[in-house]
Amino acid sequence: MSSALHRIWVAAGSPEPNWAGRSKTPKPPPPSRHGVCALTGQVGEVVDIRHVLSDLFTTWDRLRWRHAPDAGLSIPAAWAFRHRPLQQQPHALTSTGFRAVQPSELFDALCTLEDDSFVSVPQSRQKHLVPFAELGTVRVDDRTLRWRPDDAHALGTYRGLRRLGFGETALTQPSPPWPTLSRLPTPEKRWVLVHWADLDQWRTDPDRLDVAARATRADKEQPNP
Amino acid sequence: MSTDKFPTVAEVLADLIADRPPEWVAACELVAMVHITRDRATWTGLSYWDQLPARVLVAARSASTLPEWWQQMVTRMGCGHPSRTEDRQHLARLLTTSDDTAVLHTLDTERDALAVTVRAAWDIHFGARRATAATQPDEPAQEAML
Repeated sequence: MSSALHRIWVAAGSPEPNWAGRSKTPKPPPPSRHGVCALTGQVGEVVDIRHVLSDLFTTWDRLRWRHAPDAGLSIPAAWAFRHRPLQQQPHALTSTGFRAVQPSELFDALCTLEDDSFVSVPQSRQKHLVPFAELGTVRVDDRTLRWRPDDAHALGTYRGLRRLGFGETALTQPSPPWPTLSRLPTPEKRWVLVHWADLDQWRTDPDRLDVAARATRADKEQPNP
Repeated sequence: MSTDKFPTVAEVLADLIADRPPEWVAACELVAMVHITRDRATWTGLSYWDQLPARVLVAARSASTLPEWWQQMVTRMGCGHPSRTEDRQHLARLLTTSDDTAVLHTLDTERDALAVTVRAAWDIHFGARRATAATQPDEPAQEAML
């Protein structure tokens, strides 16, 4: 876990953590000292935990080294906890770096997920995902999904069905809705009926359907192109 | 297109159920048998396709063997005998030689998928035939099968 978070932080360009939070006034970085990172267990430069996490933080049990006598949080961990967009938008670690991705880029990243890449897909926009990253996996709100090759296949089927006009809710159902199906020409109708069952494994595990839904939406227009 | 004989149920469903497990194929063919032999005076109109899975489910829950299930469908939907000899023989084979527990479980859990498959198969097969019949008014339309 430690190396994964460090790699992501380096691939993101080693950014300074957002010390100011939501306030507009810039805040100087808190004093750092030598200690153990409560999240990753790495020994090195840390800051006190109170500068990173607020009193509203509850899941202390996920910081494995929090009881170490000189526990603090390292700079990558502080960045992962305090950088707000990480909780809000899908991000991907690819060969070109770590950044927020549009749905089409997310789709490509999921199709080519290697052992040294990572994808985070927030669902509730309220949870920390990147601090608990593992390489070669997809992180959703509360779980780490192993992304198998047949998941990539199912994702292709999912996109095909979405393009034929089936909605995200319809795809969670065990059979295709007739009003949509009856409008399709015969070869497509046949294809849908044969491939609808390919997603049956996902239907018992809705997190993967959520990830696929995020990856097949239309791209948002870039605010400043 | 030759219209002197109706295709059998197995022929109509063939390419939609080719790579399914055997109990799924048997269940789908049974639902198709119900579809072609139902009492057409009562079971027609738009809500028919919503009612069919519901009846299939009720019968599958209350029956413990496939002949019992078919008996329930006869009571509920007025099923008669298929008109083709091949279909009658196939139905008898399905009711006697299938794995009852597995097929009843499939009828129970996959009823909507089965009904949609049968509906699409009939639409693909006879929808095209109806379209040809409409363009060539000499040939008699085979709407009875729909």
